[in-house]
Amino acid sequence: MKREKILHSVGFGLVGLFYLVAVFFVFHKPSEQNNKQIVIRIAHWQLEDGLRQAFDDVGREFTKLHPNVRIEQLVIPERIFPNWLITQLIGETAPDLIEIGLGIDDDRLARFFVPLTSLVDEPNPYNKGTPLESVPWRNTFLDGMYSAYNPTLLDYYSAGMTQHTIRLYYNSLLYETLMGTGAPPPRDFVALQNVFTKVAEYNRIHHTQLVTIAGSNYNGPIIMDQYLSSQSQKLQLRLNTLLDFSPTKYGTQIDFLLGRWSFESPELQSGLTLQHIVGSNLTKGFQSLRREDATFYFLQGHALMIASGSWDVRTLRSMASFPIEVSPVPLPSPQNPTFGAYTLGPFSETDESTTKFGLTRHSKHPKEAIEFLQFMTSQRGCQTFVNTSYWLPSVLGVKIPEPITEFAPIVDGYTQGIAFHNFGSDAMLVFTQNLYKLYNDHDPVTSFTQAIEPHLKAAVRRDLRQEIDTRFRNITRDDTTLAALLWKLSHGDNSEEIRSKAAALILNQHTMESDTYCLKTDLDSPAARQP
Amino acid sequence: MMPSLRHHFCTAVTGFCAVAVMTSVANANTLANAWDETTLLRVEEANELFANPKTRPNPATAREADYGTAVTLLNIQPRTPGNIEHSAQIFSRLLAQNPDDEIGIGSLYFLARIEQVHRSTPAPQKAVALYQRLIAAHPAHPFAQIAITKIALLKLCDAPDNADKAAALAEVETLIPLLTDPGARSNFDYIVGTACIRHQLGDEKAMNYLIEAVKIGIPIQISSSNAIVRIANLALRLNRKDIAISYYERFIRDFPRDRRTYTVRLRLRELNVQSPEVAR
Repeated sequence: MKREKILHSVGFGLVGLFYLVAVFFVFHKPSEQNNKQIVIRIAHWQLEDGLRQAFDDVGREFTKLHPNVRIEQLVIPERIFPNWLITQLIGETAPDLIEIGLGIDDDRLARFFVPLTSLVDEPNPYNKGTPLESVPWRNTFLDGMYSAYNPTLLDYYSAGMTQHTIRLYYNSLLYETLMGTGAPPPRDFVALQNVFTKVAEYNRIHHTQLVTIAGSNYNGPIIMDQYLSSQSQKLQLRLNTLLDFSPTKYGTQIDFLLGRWSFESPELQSGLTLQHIVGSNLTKGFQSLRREDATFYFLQGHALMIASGSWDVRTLRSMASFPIEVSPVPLPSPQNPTFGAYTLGPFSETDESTTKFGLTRHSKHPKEAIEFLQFMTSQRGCQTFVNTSYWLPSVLGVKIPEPITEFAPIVDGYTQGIAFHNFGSDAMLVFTQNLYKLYNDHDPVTSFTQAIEPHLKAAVRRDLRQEIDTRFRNITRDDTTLAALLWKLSHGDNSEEIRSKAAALILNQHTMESDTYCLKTDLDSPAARQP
Repeated sequence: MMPSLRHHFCTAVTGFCAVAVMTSVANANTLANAWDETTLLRVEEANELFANPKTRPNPATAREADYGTAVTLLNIQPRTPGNIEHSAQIFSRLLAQNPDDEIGIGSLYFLARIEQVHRSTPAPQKAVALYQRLIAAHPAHPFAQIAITKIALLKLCDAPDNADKAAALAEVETLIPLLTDPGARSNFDYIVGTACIRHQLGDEKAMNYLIEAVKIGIPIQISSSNAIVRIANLALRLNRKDIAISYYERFIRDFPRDRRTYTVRLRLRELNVQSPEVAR
């Protein structure tokens, strides 16, 4: 009994002690207020190797300039990011800067993020002492900040840190075993066909099942679409009736319905033949494999190559037990005797910025958060970021680190041709449901073309109706904004910001309306309604 | 009046005035906030502010609040025919009360917009008639200037495939003298020029419209770049190489990082041009 009493006392004593210790730590924890330390929280979904470290490096550099500001990053997996984000935004507990993309539509952007428009025409203060010192912030980006502009909301909402290009990664040890020591990477499609032959020979001689290119439902389309697209570059320019070298995917779709091209056109047949040839050298059944499956297949040495973006370079190189080299996707050149007739040449890769961050409305420290965003996208900040991440820079004058020079975007390139991704979701379903026919051995191109033919037009019509509905929603939404802007203009707020916003909105709405009416008229025409 | 009583009276009047002024400032702020919310597409919040009884202490602010309510009703989610009809009723009432003030003019414009795009069954003919009424009554007003291009695009683009587009263009061109605002003129030229290419209404005409639009200034970068390439390509088709070269060169200068730059540069090489824009 006495012993039990002692045990109870010890127990209560321990509880009390831990309580006191906890209280001590809570009251002695250095808080933001008591040491005037400002914490800027930044959230993203980039789990790739080196990214967390790259953001930390940029944060540390920033803290050197602003010792009272500390950067804290939250890395949220891609799959749960949209749900996490909306909870944070509604709960008003969102971090100061958030990567824009997943789970953010126009409505959420307008509701929860701060427009950066007033800043984009001013120089970025962190470019002081560089050739970009007096250049407006938006002109310091390789894409002119075009990708940060929201045409519906008529504001800039983000600033991007990087760009990406697609390349073919290859196991250089295995490659030399197959192709000979010092063999150059396949620079064109003829060279790639030679690799296909060598791999087949190797498998026959060694009774192995080495795959040339590791494929999955993620990595497969990345490369396959490029082959289809390469064969329709000239066709696409011919179809560009608006004469701006910039065919839209909806134009491509309506041209398909109007019979201006079809999958039976020689260009598309040639593209499908290329897809069959390349697809037959990807992992069998790649359409049902996941990205991780393809990565493991490649890393385990079961595949010679894998197609992916520059975002995977650090991950693949750090995980592989063999040296990895990269080369551009070897597309047929115009000189190719079989596949050269319909192609113009390599695709232009002057792409839009990615990994874009926006400032949330409930940021506790908007001034410091904006400063950090400007620092991240200054020459110094971006250089620090790319030096660690091995991702391509989005800012002019930032040097591409030596290990990723092969990823430098192709500037002297042409616009792409027609690919599956030019279509909407219903049409994509028709393609994916029949894609397996394209990798059969028996008359694959014909069997695929015949299989999609009875369903494709109806699917494209549904997609376009959906698109027209979406556009009309945007058009009607603009009316409310226009009313407010014109009201402000007529009641004293004649600022440049309001005037330029109103001017852009009016033209944007006119353009969207005329394009949509033309699309609708075409879609309702007897030619487009033919089964 | 006793001095102390006078003093109390003055104090009371001053206090009352101060409260009235503060209330009116607060109401004006509420309305200003509502318009701010509207520009940011926070339509529900704006609608609540416009509907707030505090914003309606006098007929002028009540009229503004009603106008704001009608404008926001167009996009309250979910969009329902009931809301659109309610909005149309408010606009009609505001128009009947005073067709010539800012709100009356705006109401007429939005009644046309309701017929054109907001109702589940659009009535473009009714919309055109309302736009014409607006243009006739207040031709220089910003809403009327916008309405001119709306009529043009309805006549040129929202017409069946077999409609006489040349006749429609001739009709639309009669509106040009009414375009007094340079921005509205540029928009009109851009839309009509593009429609001329699309409906093959004459390359020369299309080119001239687009040249005019570019000269005045196109406020959206992508539209501006498209217009410049179109002018150059139209000029080439018309064998006007001088114009083609000058606009291809301008495109490279103005949009050096556009993904079409290489294609444009090749066009210049084909034209045997040796300028800094070609040699990079």
